Amino acid sequence: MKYFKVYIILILCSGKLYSQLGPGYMGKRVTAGYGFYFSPAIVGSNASEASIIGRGNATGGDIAFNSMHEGFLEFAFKKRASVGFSFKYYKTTYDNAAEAYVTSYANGYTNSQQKSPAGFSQITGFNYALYFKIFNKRYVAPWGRYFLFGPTINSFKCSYDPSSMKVEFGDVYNSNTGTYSSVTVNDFGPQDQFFLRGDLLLGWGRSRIFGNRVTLDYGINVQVISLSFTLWDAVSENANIFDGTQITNLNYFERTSKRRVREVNRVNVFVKVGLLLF
Amino acid sequence: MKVCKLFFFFSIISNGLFCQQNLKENFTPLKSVGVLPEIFTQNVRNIIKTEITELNKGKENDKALKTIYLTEANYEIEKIIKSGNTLINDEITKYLNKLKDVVLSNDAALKNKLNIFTLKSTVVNAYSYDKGFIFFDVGLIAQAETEAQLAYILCHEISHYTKHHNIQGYVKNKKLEKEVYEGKNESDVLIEKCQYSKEHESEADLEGFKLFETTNYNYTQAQKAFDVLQYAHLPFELTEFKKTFLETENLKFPVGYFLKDVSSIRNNADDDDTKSTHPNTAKRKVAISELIKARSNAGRVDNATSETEFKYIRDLARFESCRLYLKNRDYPNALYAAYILREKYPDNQFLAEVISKCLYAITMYKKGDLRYGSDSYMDEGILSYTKVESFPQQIYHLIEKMPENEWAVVALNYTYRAHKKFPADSLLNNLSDSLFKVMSRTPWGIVDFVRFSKKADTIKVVKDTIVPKSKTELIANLQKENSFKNYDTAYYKDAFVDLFMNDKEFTKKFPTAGPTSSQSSGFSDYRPRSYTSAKSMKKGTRFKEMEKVSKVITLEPFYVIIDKNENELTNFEADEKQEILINTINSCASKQNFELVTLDPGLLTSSDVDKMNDYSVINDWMYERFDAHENTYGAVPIFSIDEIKKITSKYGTTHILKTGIGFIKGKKKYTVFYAAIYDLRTNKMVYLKQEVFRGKPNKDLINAKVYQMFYELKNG
Repeated sequence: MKYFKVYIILILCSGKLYSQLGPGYMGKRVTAGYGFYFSPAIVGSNASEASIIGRGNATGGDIAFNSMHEGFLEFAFKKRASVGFSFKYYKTTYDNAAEAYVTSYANGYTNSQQKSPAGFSQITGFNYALYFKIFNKRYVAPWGRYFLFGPTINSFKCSYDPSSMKVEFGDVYNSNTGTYSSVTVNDFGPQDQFFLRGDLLLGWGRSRIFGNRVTLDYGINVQVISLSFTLWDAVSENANIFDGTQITNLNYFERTSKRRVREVNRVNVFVKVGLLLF
Repeated sequence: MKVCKLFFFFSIISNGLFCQQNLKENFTPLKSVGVLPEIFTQNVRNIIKTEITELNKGKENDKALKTIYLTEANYEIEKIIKSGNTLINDEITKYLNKLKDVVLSNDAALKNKLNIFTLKSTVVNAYSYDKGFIFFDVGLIAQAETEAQLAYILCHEISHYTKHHNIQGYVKNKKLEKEVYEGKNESDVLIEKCQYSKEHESEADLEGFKLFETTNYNYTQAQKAFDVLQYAHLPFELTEFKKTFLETENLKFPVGYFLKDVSSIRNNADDDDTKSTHPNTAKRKVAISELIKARSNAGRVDNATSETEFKYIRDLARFESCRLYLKNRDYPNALYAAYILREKYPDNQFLAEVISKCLYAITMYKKGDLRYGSDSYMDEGILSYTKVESFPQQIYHLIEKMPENEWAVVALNYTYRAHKKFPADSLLNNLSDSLFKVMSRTPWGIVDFVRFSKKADTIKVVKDTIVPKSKTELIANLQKENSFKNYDTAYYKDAFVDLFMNDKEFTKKFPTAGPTSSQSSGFSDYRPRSYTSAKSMKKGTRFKEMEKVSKVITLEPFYVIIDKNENELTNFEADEKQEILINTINSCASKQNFELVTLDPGLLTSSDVDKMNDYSVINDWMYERFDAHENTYGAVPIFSIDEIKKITSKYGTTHILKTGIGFIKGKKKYTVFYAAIYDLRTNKMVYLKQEVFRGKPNKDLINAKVYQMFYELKNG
């Protein structure tokens, strides 16, 4: 965190030292506001447990969107450049479509099966981004068309309800009783698991200003690493295609939630409303 | 109190009597005076709305077309009125109004409906609008031979007004244009349009004559007025351009620089007028002569007011024409006009300045330091002498034949002597100083011009000591002598002999050697400031070497909407948007404590005649500035304006801002933001923004760009 602060101070100072402070929009350089991000929830299921392609690639999906909420603060430090800090929050679910290689030790027997767990796992994400907007020639920050880039940290918490998220083994033979019964596995590690990943944010947008006070910003942004994993995510749903390592119930969250988080962050369309403060 | 009233009365009377210029000594460019008429201060949109409401009340035909006409005509009149070229209450306009009184002495009602203005233009024309505005170009007054000719032209224009030719012509033309869309041959439509216009002109000729008849003017002058129009392309007088004009005792031009005979004047009176809006002169003259035949000219006069007054007014117009030719960068015509006037006013300081400026400008032109812009009135440069008729041809011939460095000698020779004649004239002083710098760019230094006495001695020695022994030796000797003669007896080398002998100032200022390593543009004294390289200019952005500016004179910002499907609302829309733009400019400037001096003819009150004059000066400056490209020194010489210093000290800034928005409507919409700052001292553009955006000119775009412009100006 210390390094992060130093980084921000250096950025702001370099703006002051090495360039002339830009005019801002009508002299105003600081904008704060709210942003709404969305992208189609093609697979995986959104916060409402819906996806366009149905669960387990079945048909009968819904029109569903992933959504994120953002709070941001931007400062135009040069005529055509501004620096911003944003905090994004989202909730989503994972439909547990990936099959886990689950092993149960019951009745003296070890049973292993590859199966998708029932229920949904919950994901709550927090993205922190420090980004720079470079406005196209002729425009003046914070007004106009721009390109944005910057590092982002995606932190997310995964949780599950053991009563609903489980894998059931039907007809497991019990040598003691000589009967067959079902065995349930609902151990997917700790119920709340935290993960932290870095990514690079790129975006293109246009900012309009109304009444010299209200900004309307719209565009599209992508997270580069997430985007580059698109193909990987598509082919390695159940196992690592290189080393063949399986997803197990114990690493299930680690393997599937990352993919889901990448899906949510990969490409987003956004609309932001802000206030030009001073 | 009575005494006081009497004093004021007499002072007013005396002003009327003695406010004439003393043209023998000098000439002051024409200015508007007094109170600005209502048309200058009215909102054109309100006028149009009222007129359209009036139109709709009546039961006239073609209301839709007439509505468009009212809008377009009013905007056109506004454009002329507020162009800065319209003169109000000046001597010429007063005189023209006097003619109106003479012509309409029996029709007070009509007299009150008419407003006559003079336009600062060298064009030989007059025109009227259905609203009763009649405009006379200075060029026409300069060409008139008698007051009666002007009176007849006025009668002709009044007839256009009383017969509503303007609106009728508009409606007819629009209907004909519609026929083109319906498949009619375009050329046939043009001929038909011209025919209709010619009918109006003929009617105005005859109706005008009826009005002219009610006066005491000589009938034959009505006919002669057409001669004036026929030869309008020639200077206002034709006098032989004498070789001796620019010669002095020690500067005699070679005969070859002058034509033995100048070309004759082509008679175009009976030219084909099928595709002309006016009947040819021959036809018009015949029509008038038929009317004159039946009438007696006894007791009729050429000048109803006074011949002296007419000639004075005409001379004013001719002097002003000299300045306007300079503004148009038409140096040969300016030189010839000044030459003609100089015959009558040999000691006039203004004429000495005009001639010096012309010589200086021609030198710059020859040296390639003055290049006409592509939109210039003279975009092809100074005409070849073969395309010029009569006596002025000599000037064009001289320009073509005399090499550039010799022009520098001629210009310096004339200008320095003029400076000596008018030592208090700082302009002549600056011009001659600049010409000394131009001389430093010739291959000649002081030594090349002070060989007069040595030359004779040397030749003498050659002749005395060498006695040729053979034919070949004799030829060699002659060749040597001739080459020496050719060099040393070059006609211009003796030009300054008397000045070198008698004038220490001249000798001191004259460059000692040929071209120096650090060449000067020769403009630096005339516009006292050093120049940065033209390469520092980068289109579409501000200049890197720009100094900080915190105060500018802002001219009327423009807001132009270009629409392929243009309708009558485009002007209105642009007009409303222009008001918003003006407010934005003011608010952005005030937010940054940026001082704005607004010289906007659209925001004048009746007492703002001085502002109108200042606007006119700057407008002329802009016109001349844009008429030429920046030269390699990043400068554009301005010759028609000498009052810039007054204006800059009056308003406390040397910078003027021209800004505006262009909106191009179509399938794709584009917005152009334009802003340019010029330094009036150096004539240089110091800031330029010319940016194109996709889409409409939204408020945030205008706010951002205008605010940024002031920010950049203030912060450098």
